[in-house]
Amino acid sequence: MKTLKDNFWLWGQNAGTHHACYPELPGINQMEPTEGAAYLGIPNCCRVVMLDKPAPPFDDDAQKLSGFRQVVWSAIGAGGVERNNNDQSDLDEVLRQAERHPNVTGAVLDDFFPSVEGFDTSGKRARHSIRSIETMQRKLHEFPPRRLDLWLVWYSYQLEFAVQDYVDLCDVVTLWTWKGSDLDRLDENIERMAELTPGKRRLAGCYLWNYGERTELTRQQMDSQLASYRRWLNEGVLEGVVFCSNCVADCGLEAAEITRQWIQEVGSQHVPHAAYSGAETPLLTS
Amino acid sequence: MIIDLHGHIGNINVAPFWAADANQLDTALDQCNVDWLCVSSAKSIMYDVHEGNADLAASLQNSRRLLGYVVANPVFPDSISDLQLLREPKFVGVKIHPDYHGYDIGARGVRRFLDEVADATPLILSHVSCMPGTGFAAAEKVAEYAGRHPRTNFILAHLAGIYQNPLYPYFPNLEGLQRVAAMGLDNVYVDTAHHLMYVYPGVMDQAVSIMGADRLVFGTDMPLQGPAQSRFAIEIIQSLPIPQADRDKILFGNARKLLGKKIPQ
Repeated sequence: MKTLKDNFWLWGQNAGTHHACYPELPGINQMEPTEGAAYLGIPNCCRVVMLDKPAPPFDDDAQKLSGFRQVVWSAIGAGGVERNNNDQSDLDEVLRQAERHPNVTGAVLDDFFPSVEGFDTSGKRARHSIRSIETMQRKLHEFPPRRLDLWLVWYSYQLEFAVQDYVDLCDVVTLWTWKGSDLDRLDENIERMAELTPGKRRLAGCYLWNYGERTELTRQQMDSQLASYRRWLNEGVLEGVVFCSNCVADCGLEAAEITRQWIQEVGSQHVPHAAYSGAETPLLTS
Repeated sequence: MIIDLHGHIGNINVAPFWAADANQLDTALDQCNVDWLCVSSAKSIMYDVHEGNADLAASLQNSRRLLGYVVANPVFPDSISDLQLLREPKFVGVKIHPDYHGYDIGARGVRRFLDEVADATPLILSHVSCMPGTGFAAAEKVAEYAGRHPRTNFILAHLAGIYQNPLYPYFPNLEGLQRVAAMGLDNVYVDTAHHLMYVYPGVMDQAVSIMGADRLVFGTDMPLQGPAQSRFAIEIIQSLPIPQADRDKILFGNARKLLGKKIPQ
């Protein structure tokens, strides 16, 4: 029987990249994704390109990820990775890694719709055309060794954007609350996401720092969002949680310690609902 | 008490997040509840042996919890003169780094230099190859050298390093650890300074089972690993399914034996 922890994911990015973009972050970040996941107690990883790192080929980094149960690579990277705007992508490289590493189970579209951060989407609805995403989905679904999933990052402030055609093409939707103050409406937003994504796998994205307002998340905000996630997991509306990130796991944030303790406390709880539909993969590749 | 036998002072690889002066190391030790840290100079390892050793000597005078290793480099034979620093109370031994300094520990000319070093110090901390594509300091090669100097204690760093396998380089070299253990050398210890000790479950359990708690010492490579990693490494050791007395040996008991009077009893 699956436990909650089986469905926890790390948003894994190169150490130091968050501090490079958000100098308000305290301390120093040295934990790479494998270390951050081990520290927090998380078995799966979304490995996401940020500040153009890592750059293809991903061989070196993919080897480091071989201990994860599942790995989902970014297809276009974070919003600042402009080389992958305009229908360019790393998907072929992700598929090459999926051939080599059986724990690769999908690709994720990060920072995909127009962002409050102002990433360049050139006035379009999204960083890629719908045709590009259709092609991506087909390549993932028809990947010969096994079907792979297309994941999406969807911010709560984007829920009412006219992007349903894109959402419909994705297999897994992750909902992120960019501003800590918007966590007040977390339950309402999860319900709305569920309405908009019938039949899809849904995960919550859990920040460990308030990126949208460039400050720490309070204990109350952390306790409250984690309690919500647990409730929605138990009800089967959410399949899992993605924790962001190794890049802030070791810099002295109270939120990281709260999260680590929470995972230790609830991680072994059995999933009471049949929401889990992720791939079954071995712990280590052989 | 916790004693970390493997750290550095200064800036490693010019990386801003791998830099620490004495004050920053003291703060980090507070954050991970470590009492003593033995450091070598990053500048000595990466740039200028003499200058780095001199910087370290100056830093140690103002620190209450740092102890030092003199770095010796056979590629620059003059560095042998820095061994005079061993007379100073806060220097505990010598650090050698064949991979960064670019020499094979088995080469004849190198041996002559290192023999002189080993005769002059009670303790050598030797780097063991732990980066993909490096192999000047394989664990068994360092241990074999230690066997020639039974009166000097050797710490083999990085949990015997990693497999030098170009396809899958990111796995702990437990086989190397087995070969070192099979040599049965009383003067050889292995430190825990590698993130693989906690990245993969069971690595430390296997290390204890192979080497025994009497032969393992705590090390982190600080500031390559920060206080959070250090705390995590301590947790891993504290959670080992062995008697508390054995955990204590790894965390400080063996180190106290190696450092003798350098650590107040």
